[in-house]
Amino acid sequence: MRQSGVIGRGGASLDELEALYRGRFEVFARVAASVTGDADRARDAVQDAFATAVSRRRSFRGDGPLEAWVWRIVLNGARSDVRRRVPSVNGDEHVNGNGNGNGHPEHDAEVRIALARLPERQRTAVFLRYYADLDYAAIGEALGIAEGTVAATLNAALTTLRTRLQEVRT
Amino acid sequence: MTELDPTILDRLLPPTPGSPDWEDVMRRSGWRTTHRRRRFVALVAAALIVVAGTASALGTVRAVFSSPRENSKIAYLRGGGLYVMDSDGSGQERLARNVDCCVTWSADGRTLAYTVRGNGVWAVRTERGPNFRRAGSKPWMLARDGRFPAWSPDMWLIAYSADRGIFVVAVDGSGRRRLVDDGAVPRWSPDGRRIAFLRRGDLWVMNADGTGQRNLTDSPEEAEAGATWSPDGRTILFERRVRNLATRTTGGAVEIFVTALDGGEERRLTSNTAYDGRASWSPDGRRIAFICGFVDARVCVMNGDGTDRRDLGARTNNDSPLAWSPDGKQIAYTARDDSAVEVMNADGSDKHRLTSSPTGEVFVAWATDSLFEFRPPPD
Repeated sequence: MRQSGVIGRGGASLDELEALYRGRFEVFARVAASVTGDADRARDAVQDAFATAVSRRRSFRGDGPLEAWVWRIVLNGARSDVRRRVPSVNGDEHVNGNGNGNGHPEHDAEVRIALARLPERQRTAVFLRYYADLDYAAIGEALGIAEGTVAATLNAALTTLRTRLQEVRT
Repeated sequence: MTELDPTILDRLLPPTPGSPDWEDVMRRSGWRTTHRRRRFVALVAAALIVVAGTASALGTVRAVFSSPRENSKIAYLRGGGLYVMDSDGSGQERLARNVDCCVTWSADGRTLAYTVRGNGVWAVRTERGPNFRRAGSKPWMLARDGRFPAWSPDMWLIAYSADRGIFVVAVDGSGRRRLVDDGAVPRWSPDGRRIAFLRRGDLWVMNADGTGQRNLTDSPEEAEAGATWSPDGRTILFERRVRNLATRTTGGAVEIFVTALDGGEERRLTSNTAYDGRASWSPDGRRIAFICGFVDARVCVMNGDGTDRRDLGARTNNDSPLAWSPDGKQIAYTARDDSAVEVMNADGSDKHRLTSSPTGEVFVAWATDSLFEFRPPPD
């Protein structure tokens, strides 16, 4: 389990933010792209989010990992970008995401479609847990939900994915 | 569960868009450093961003997808059935029945969207896999009504015509919403940011969210159709039924035009009394294949600026599409005499047929065609 960032004191330093940015840029940008559906917009959202984090670094309370705090800013920025672009009729069903289209094994498409059908919060939770390797507390902070809700969200996502992938096979 | 192995999620996510740029972050935050070197670096970074922004405004976009697959598939219709085969004619397989029209490949060449007669827009996988017992199993409905589906280059969304407007829906059929009240035949730009479409005989373009609608042709007395983005996304090919100067009516010939997205003027690429249409860019954006002649329809090619027009001597039908292979070396089309799917080299040599059945076939699309196979524009 990844335990990054600084816990236990208020405020974040520029050096800490820069180290987090340089070390985790790819993970931030790619997960953000699953929300925005566009890699360039995702990069923009990450740049803006870190800029916001720099401006507000003194307001970081230090009661959780710095990375989780930044994730929340990144995801909020990515979601705002989506809301600005597409007036969604049915927000929960609105799918955003991407695929690089290069040499997927055969079942990637099924996983992708199954993921696409998840509500955005569940999908993002899946990426944060299994791709970004955040723990439940950090995911809760990033998504703005309680730690217990994270477990329920991930369980619901995995159950749905399992069911849909089994449907595809049969 | 094994499906959520990080390596799978890693493959599903898009590639990283460029490298980290901390100076850009600092600039956006309004941070002012007194350190001269950092300020210099920030100035250089800002200049680069301005240059990049200018280039972007002119249409330069980064690659979305890399090299095409080695064994690209060809889709075709036979008696209302939708079939696929390998590009050498082997492995022919039926995927769906009662297919009406408008078959289009997803960017990765693994899924087809199409219209079912009287029953909306559907999608189907084209390959076997560990999770599919056979290709074509379980097609799924994208929309109950509609025609002309178009995949977004990232493969998550499909735009289509319905109810006199344009809708967009997620690849699983969820989240349907109307983008345009008045329009038809959407075509996604290679970078996924814009959609070209037809409205009352004119060619229009808008942002992918439906905002910023612009009329590109504004020709009330002439009708446009067949919009096709260039691989670099800077220009759109289209065909126009030109005004007949002799009779002062719109009953003239169909000719091929190209228009630039950002401020350029449109150019007429063909000019004669015969039909020229169904234009298709080569994957490198340098050549255009098209159908020349209406009754005696043949496959012709020309340069992107209309020069070096050549008749490749392949007899086809004026209402059948044609397409370049993903590597740009071959062109597929429907043979006129017995409706077989044929391919030839891009110079017209080595014409040979891939199918032959008593009822005949109609070539419809080559996987990873030039619409979606983005390549950087030539310098």
